[in-house]
Amino acid sequence: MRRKAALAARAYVVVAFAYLFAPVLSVTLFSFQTGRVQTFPIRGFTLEWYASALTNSAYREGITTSVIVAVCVAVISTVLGFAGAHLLCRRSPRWPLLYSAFVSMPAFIPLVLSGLVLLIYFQKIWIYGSLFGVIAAQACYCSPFAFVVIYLSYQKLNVEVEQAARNLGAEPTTILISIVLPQLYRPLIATLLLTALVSWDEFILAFFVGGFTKTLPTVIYASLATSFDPSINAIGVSVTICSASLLILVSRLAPSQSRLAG
Amino acid sequence: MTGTSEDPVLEIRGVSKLYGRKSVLSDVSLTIYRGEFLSIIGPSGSGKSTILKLVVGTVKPTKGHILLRGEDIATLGPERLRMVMVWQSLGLFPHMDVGDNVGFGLAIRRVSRRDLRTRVAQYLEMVGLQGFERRRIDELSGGEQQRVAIARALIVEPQVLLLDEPMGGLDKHRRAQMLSKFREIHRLTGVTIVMVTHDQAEAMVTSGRLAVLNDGAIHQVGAPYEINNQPKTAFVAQFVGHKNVLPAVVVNANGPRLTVKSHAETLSGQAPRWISHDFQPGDEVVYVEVVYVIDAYKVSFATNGDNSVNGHVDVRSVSGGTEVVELVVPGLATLRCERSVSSSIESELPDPVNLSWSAEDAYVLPR
Repeated sequence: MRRKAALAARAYVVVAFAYLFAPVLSVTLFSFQTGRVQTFPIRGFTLEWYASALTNSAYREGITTSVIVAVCVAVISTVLGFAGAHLLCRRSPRWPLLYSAFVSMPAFIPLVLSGLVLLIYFQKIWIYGSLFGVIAAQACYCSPFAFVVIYLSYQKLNVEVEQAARNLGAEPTTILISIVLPQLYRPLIATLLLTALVSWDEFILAFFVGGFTKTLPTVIYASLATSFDPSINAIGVSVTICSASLLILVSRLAPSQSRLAG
Repeated sequence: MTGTSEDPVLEIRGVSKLYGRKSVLSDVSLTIYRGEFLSIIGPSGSGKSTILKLVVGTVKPTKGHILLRGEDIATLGPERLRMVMVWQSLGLFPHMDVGDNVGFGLAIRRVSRRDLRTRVAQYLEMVGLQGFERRRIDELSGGEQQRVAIARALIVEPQVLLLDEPMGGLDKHRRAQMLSKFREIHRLTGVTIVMVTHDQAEAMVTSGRLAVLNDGAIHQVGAPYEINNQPKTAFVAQFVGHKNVLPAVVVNANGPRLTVKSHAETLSGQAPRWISHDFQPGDEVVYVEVVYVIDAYKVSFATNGDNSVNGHVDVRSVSGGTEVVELVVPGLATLRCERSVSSSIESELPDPVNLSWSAEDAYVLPR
């Protein structure tokens, strides 16, 4: 009885994962397939679509833009998230709950809504369609995630460690640089990667405020709207590999924070 | 170090601390002299840790002043506020090795690297951790971490070293080692030490003076012997001296000899020499009985005493050469008694046990 139940549970997991990963798998297979028509069985093996994706200037520009945006968004959100967590953990705001809710809000506004609002607002302040606009919009959305991840580690830090440094004569900036930040080293790296990942995959905001500044997801969307090009498959596989490796890095870094803080 | 004891380093003057409307300290005054080892003892919640926090400035007093060598600490910058605290949690820097931890106070003062290295080695040796420079903090035992924290504090040559419950996480054996290490460091460096603890035994062995704190007020300051044998308040008698303290009312005051009524018993004792208090009949007082030593051989016979009661044995616990017996005396209280034991002494106690003590062995304190 018990063995049957275990077997059923295992089968369920396999089916669930097969269902989830079937699209990824089929895209991967089709990306190596010869010919433009996507049907099973697979006919021949080719790297043609990867070559054409690499030589396509729209994709290359999209990738460059996405990388620049991801790096800037990651840095800005992590700095903002750290500042927010620092204030909550060490400066005891008068209403901590209200403060946290306020800081986390940008992540909870539906993206379509904030995309639309930012589109109008950015047009008014002349940054619509600029690289800076895309970065600003995504940083706004990513900062709450950074705030939460850093806060979870920050609140585990022993405040007496910082008080001891102060007591030995260290200035607040010295304490921040040589005591607080090194203890939060792993969660900070994890936050950088996580926010870069969110930015790398983000479509709605980039679509609304980007205009002619196109990140990779908007480039893919634009090319799908006109005609189907199998090199999309190749791009899809590459993007997935990038995201997955970032995700693995994040998950390897994040849990080990407890060892440092405890 | 006793020769310089008239030189005050730290003066706490009329300090009160309120958290919201809750009073933690009320009008505390205490003077700490150069080179002394003073312990502040009291139960948890008595406000003893708050005193240290006020002294290092992590907490500001609601009323009163704290002076370091005559200057208000509120006006002193951290550079001149050379009072270093060893926190209850130690507050070691978990991301630095032992050497960097110990050297931190010097490194931020931009001491040259070679100088730093020799001083770190010197202070690690002082606490018995020579060669530990490159060890990680989490590799060390609790006692070793403790000593790293002390070396880190001492290296900046503080005027006052403050210890907050330093024995907190240590087992009994390590405690004894640490206590003798503290005494040794005190002798070696002559640094002024203020230690906060709830363990009166720790305070007794290390300190030159004790300050007993309860409910945010200082009850008594004095040498261990004085605190133990001449308590000024009921709390000190009970918390430090482990004496039998009974609530009572004065019935008859005849010079130094007092008769009091505690519950149903009438007992006689003395007015203590070490406080000046005019006891009057009807005064609410406490009757303090010096922990009664049962005569091991004549336990069942009433000895020639002014007070005599019968009690039933409640709890007995033996440790080393002493047995502690708690006797329930009907119509009075539970009394703590001690007797010395050895192989030749009958372990059985009669029932009831008769206790008697002379009026000289008991005294009365105002409530």
